[in-house]
Amino acid sequence: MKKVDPLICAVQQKHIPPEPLRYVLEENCAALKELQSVCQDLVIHSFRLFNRYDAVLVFVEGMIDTNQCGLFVLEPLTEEKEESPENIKKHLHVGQTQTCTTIDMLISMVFNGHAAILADNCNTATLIELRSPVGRSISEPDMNRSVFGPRESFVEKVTLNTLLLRRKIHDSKLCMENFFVGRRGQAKLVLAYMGDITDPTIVADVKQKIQKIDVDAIGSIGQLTQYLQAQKSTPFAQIMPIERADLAAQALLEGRVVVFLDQNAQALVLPVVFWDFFRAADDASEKPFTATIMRYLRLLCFFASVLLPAWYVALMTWHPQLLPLKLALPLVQYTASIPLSITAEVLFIEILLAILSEAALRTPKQISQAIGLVGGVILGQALISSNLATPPTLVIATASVVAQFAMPHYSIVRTMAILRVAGIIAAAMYGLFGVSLLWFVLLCILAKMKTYDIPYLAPLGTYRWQDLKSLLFLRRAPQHKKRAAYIPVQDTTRQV
Amino acid sequence: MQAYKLDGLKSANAQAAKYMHISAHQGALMVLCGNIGASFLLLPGILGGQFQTSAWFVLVLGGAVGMLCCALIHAAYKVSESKSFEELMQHAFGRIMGNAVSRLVRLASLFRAGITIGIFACTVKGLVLPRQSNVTLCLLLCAALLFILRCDATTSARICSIGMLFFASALALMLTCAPAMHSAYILPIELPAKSELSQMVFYILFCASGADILLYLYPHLQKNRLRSGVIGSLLGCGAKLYALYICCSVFGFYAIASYPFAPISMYKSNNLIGIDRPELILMIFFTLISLTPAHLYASAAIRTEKESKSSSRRDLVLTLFAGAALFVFAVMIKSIEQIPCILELLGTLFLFTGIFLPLFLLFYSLLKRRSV
Repeated sequence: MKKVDPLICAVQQKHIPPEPLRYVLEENCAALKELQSVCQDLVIHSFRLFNRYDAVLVFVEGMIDTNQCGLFVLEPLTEEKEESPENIKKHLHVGQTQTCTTIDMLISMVFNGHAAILADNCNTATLIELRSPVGRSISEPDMNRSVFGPRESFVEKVTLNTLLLRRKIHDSKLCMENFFVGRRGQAKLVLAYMGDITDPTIVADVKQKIQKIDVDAIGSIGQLTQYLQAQKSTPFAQIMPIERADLAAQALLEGRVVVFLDQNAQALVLPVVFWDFFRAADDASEKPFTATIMRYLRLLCFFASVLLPAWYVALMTWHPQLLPLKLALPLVQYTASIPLSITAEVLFIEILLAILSEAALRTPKQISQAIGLVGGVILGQALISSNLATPPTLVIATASVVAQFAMPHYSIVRTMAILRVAGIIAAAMYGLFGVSLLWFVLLCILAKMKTYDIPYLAPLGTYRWQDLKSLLFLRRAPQHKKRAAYIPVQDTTRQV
Repeated sequence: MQAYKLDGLKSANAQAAKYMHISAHQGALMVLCGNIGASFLLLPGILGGQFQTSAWFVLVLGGAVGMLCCALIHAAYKVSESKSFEELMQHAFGRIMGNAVSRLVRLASLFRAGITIGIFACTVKGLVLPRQSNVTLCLLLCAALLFILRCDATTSARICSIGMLFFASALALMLTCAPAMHSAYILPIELPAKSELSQMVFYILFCASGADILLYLYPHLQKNRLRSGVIGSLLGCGAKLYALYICCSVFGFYAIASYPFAPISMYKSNNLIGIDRPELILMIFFTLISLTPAHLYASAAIRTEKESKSSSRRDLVLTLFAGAALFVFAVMIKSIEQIPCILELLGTLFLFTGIFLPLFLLFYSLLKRRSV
């Protein structure tokens, strides 16, 4: 859907004719009752408005909070008052209310979780947002885990997620704009940004991308990511899904934009650069010295995970002379005893480990532990005793897979797996030269990439040494006076 | 809310606009990158072999000539007030002649990029892939370069900056052998004999080369920081000099003549890491370091203001042509023995593009201004 206003969105639903609402209630009810014959969860409840007019309350069963509806809608409206039916809104003390004038808008909004009130002698309907509170309660995040700091995770309800964010930033300049995406799905999307910090060009760019979405429905945050990312054909993530309100607040104060989608327990942060994927939730809470070391450790894990199997294949296949004799001899001895080549062996174990991690991810928690045990211990033992793999190869492959899970953000883990396999193939073809060439191309592509006009590798290779310094060495909170310059902001001062 | 946005637009865009230009640091690094390639690691060995104790003179003079080149280009642009390389040429030679000269200079840059790839292919073949043919390696390297050939100046600047980071790491890795070396190995510094000076000229020019890349870069430097950009470039030349000196003093003069990759042979026997043939570890860094000048010259050669607005099909044709030209120039280098001659040739090329051309442009612009 292209329009910001949900009521205007609804007009575009071409399967319902845009007929205006009538003054006679029975005529309006006739259309609704025709719909009720095929949508039997549609409830049309009759009552006497202000004890003077015939009226109906229309809603979809289960989608609205009936307790609130009874207490705050029906109870005040059924009291006897000398009031015209157009002035219903004055007597409602709950939710957001809107007025609509056509039957198609009314139906669209009712199926979107609103309750509608239609009265006799009135050609408008009042829409009340009374979404049912059914859903998961706030719990600890699965993805952005940390030792220090808050542990509130987002839930599937977008209003609760934005509330969590508001509780972190008590500032009127925290802007939240509503969109409805999906021609049929009509999922609520909230775009949050700091009005006086975020670069308006970035906000405008994101809005434009959201407004261009013209699809039946967007079910998951992953699908939305594909619409919002600046460069389409790259394996590197340009948008970061997060689960915690404190991280979202931190991102907003850095001048980024946060996007929420209803029915999704994650929010999207954009724009992000490559190095943001190495920032853990704990970094700000820990001492800068320790946090810096941990960040380097994560970087080391990234390179070890991606390059270790490739180097192993290159060294064993093309440059065994590089290895010290004491290490080379046992390695050659092991290799001689198995029927597969080093490359085939490494690839075979890589595939096995990928299958194991995929199986552990998809199965229930109790079974996934058993799968880990079977895969990690029993299968490893069986591979060695059946001469299908050597212990050094198993060590290298397992270490590289374990290292990839040290990454604080899951979005980069899949990319690492692809890079690892590409590296193994390059090493098998041209040894260290092949790996080096592959990384040359990769680095240059990364240097060329831009996300929302920000160089993806920034601050590496850009113009500010200060930012590069803050990337290499984390500073104490009192010293962190300026916002990072690689993300364009309106207000650069973080603290005086 | 609207008020905040409007207030902020100016500063926000000014900040974002910095990404559209090359900063002083980046400019300096690009000049420094100009000739730090595979030849850079070979150069100390070659100089040590040819001039022994007076090799330092080549480096010092090379740095000075590089600085002179930067100053000349800065002055030429400043006096003529041209906004692009084409404009500068047309300003001096007229429209038709100017275009012809600028194309020739671009072709020279492409030649230089191709030669850099050729030298690297030879080095790789001699070092790790003796059974692979030169043609295959050149083809691979040209194909890799083709991916990133068509990019803007700021992207080139970022690639250079990252390349330099790798170079610094490689240098640090190589210097791990320094503690193991005895001070007795350091050769005394002596002034060159008069007979040596004539032989040195082309090597001096080669050491200075790289600064001529400023011809293309100058219009892309941040306008309010032009002076610091040029000062940065001068410092870049100085830094190159220093880095060359380190390489020379640590590796170059003690190179074993028969070893195909002489300069780092000292590293083999004196490193701290304690593994055999550790120079291969440098392979991790080599490709980026070695191909950065090739990328810099090749992308500068095909990047013009007019062509950047052309159709994507023309872009593709131009890029493929550049790739093919690079390949042809690269396969011209058949063996490592050709490299000293090639360095002399590149030095001569620099004499025309880095010294004579800016000098002519400067004098012509000055004369024209005086006559007006």
